Amino acid sequence: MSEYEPGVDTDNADETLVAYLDGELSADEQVRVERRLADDPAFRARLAQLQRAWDLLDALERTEADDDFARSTVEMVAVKAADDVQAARKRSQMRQAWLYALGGSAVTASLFAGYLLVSRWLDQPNRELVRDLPVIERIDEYRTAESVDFLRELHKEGLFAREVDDGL
Amino acid sequence: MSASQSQPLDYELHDPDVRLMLQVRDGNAAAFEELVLRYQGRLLTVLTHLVGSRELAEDLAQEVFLRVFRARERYEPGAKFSTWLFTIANHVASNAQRSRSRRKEVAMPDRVGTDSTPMQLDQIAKAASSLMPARQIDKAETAEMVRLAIESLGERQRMALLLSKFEGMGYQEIAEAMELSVPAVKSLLSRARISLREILIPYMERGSKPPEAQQVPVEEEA
Repeated sequence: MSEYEPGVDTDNADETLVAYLDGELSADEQVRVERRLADDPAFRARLAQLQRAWDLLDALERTEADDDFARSTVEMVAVKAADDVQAARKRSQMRQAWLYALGGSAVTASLFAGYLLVSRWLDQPNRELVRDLPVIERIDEYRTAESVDFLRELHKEGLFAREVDDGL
Repeated sequence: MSASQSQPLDYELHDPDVRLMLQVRDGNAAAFEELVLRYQGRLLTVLTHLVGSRELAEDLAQEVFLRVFRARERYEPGAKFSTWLFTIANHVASNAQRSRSRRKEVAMPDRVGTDSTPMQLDQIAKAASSLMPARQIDKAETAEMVRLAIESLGERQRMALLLSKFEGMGYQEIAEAMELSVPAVKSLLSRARISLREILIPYMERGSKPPEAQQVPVEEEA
């Protein structure tokens, strides 16, 4: 009964027989299998054994749920769902806190950058005053000269050799 | 292929459980409880035989229902409700099996085989047949032998087999639930049923004949 015909492509044959038992063959394949079953006793024996093994699975019992399984499941799900809501709320609050912190940092950075810019801009007149100080200090003398070109000529001739020439 | 490979269905129209799930999506808690009541037994049956422990199966079934509830807002009926439910169950069970395997790797060798190498087929048959001195096969012994045979299958073979046997799913539906191709399911089921035949048929024959008359070859799985 369990000895198979030598030379039979057993793997393909079994796969086909299982699909045949499961009703998963096309009409053509089904006709081919039935034709072979009619002619081939070994093929028939394989089919019978597969069917018998399948039928033995009926010995496995179906599991019945306990009376309170549904109730405890629904309760557990309700508790977990409440936890999920709580966790989602916390995540949302955290996200909001991060956004506020990020926004605050951005505002602080902007204010600082603005301060730097403004302070540099405000410093500008003072720096100009320092640069022009030598001229300012001797403005009365410079006023006696008729023009800047005249002063440049004097400078070229070395008249101010020992003078600081920042004012020019 | 099969008749189960049909045009996309209007699942909302054809499947009352899809309609219940849509009510759950809309915030109807009673609809969720009704789904639990409808599917608890079916889910527990498959999971118990899949993981081999009633207690673990109950934990996993609760995890499955929790995931169903958590997914309610994103739910779109793209399959029968049962197919969708068993897709989740397959994920949950696979994760649990992986965790258990990691723990077992340290503690003890795994007695469940892989898809490609079912372990101890002949040992299981011999062990079970030696249990009964008079070879009187009763229902309890058959159930135990079948349980051992199922446990010897790889996890995916076992799942495919259980969905086929207990849920009456076709290849297409099993493929959807297990996220495999139809040929892969065909191959899984074929190998599973060949393994079962190799274990169970010799056992049944030993039960009715003298032990020395039994010389049934156990084929290697492809």
